[in-house]
Amino acid sequence: MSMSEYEIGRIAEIVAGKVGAQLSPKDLRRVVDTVVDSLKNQQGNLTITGATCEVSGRETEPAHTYSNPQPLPPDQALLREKGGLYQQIEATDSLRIIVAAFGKNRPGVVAAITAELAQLNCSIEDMSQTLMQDFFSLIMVVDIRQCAMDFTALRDRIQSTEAQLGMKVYVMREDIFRYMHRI
Amino acid sequence: MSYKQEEIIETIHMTQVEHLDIRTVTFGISLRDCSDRDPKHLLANIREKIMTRAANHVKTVEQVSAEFGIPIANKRLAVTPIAIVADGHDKATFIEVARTLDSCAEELGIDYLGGYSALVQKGMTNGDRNLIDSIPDAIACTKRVCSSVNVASTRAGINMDAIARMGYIIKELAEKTPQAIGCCKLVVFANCVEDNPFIAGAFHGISEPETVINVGISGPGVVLNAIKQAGQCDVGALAETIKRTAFKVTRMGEMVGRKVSQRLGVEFGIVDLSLAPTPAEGDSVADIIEAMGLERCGCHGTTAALMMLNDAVKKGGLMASSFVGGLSGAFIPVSEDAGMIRAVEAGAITIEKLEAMSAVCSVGLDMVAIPGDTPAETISAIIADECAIGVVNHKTTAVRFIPVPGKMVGQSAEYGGLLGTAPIMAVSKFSSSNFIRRGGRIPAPASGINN
Repeated sequence: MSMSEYEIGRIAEIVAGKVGAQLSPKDLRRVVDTVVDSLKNQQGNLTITGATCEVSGRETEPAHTYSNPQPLPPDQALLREKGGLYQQIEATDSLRIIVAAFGKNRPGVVAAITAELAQLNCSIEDMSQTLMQDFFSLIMVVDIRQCAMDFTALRDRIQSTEAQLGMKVYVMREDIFRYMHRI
Repeated sequence: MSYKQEEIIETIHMTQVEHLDIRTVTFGISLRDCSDRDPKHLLANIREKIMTRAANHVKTVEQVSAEFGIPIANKRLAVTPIAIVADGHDKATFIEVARTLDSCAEELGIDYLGGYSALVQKGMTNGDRNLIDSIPDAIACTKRVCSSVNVASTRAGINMDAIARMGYIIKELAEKTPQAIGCCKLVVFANCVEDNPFIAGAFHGISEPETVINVGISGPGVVLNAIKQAGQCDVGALAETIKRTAFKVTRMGEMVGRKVSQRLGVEFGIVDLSLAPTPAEGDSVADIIEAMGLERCGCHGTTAALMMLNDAVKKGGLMASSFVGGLSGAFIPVSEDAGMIRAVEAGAITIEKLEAMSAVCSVGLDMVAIPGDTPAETISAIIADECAIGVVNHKTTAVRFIPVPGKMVGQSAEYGGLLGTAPIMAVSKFSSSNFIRRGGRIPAPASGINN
């Protein structure tokens, strides 16, 4: 089968449209040549992607590219404001944390934890403590807006007082308490 | 203070002491656009899509878990039923697809991947048939791939041809894997759901979006403690206690799911309200039943107690989240629940009782080990019985049986981890063979034709 220049030109256009973006000009030329050769020899089963794989030395190339869906134009877009609880959950993580310490009472517990919080630039919004015989519990709601550290590092820092105090210290984001206990 | 001290202590106690965790955050991916006549392209497409779409799943889930202080037990993937994606291919290609899925899951750090599935409640295409025939080899040569086959629905009836085939498939799979462990990864369904996040039955249904995040909550330990604290109250008050607990657990599950979905930029699907036990002490559905006042799970009164538990969990959960889906009911797997294992060993619970229990809770005969010499037709007949319960009651039922080769009643098979220990349970010694060999399809029940 012979081919005209025009036909070869068309094939080159189709190939470039399909795989042009992922190949260098030199490789693109070789893919076009391979496709043209296969058409001349009437090997009908060669695909452009197949030829691309051959040229670029990759075993197989996926036939599709999996890009994310394009957003609709603004005038056709749906109202997707979630509002209410779902918006609260998804929009932001709470900037308050709950710090709780439980254990045997001893001097300096509150001082040690609050000193750590002050150093980290965290401000205590609310605090409650109870003492039942020897068992002490301390719960604080803490604002971390001014704290430069990310949450996991912050938590590890506060929890590092555990060993020194001989108490169990928990640090959790406020979100979980809000969603569990408020409708 | 904006929270009462008891509220804060309750939450900390739930997460730290009572094993409250998120059982699974499951990432669903549609593979419908991966089909190709050329097996090489099919495999490359599947690989490319999973690896690009789910690339950050594990990392994000771990981040959210660490930040909010809530353990997330499993990170899973669910894909479009492979019989649909690879329809038209032969058995060998199906096995290659399973290998590809397995290697993707391994590279992404996924625990289990569900979706090596076929939906054959009405009949089988060639692809469905090839997939079903390939299950024993596909599961035996992979570590993380889970398979499910839906053989009945309220709308279509019960496909007895498929059920007859599944009896042999389960037997073959048992022979091909050590201690029949492969059978833990194969479940036969009636009325399967499209957004189930739990393994082994998870798959990404054909009406689901491109990608979706579904969350399965857990927490039998939390419910158990609430019941113990409720003391000697009547059953109405008990239901109220369970309902309140379920509300809190579900809220937490939804929050975690939405945080993950927002960080991944993937749509949030549903919360599955199932009470899923683990072999850990105290994390058991059987213990809950016993805490209500029954001497052993399985004794008379168990079905009523389970029905109340299941219903109260749903009511609390439905108030907590508007997007409830999946299986949403209590699970009663035998090997994965320390209390169930004790009940079987004490002779309190039999397959017949489990069957009755499955009529009032989620799924059904789950993780039940039976003697290795059980005939395939008997397994098929048990599947058919379970399907009948599901089809008539408009609910999901399932069978996950493990015929352990060489083991007899009184022995047990040890799997470890979340799969636990499976005591071998007795099946009827009378034959169901001539009924199963009839084949065909049981017509849809009158209650299914309700337009």
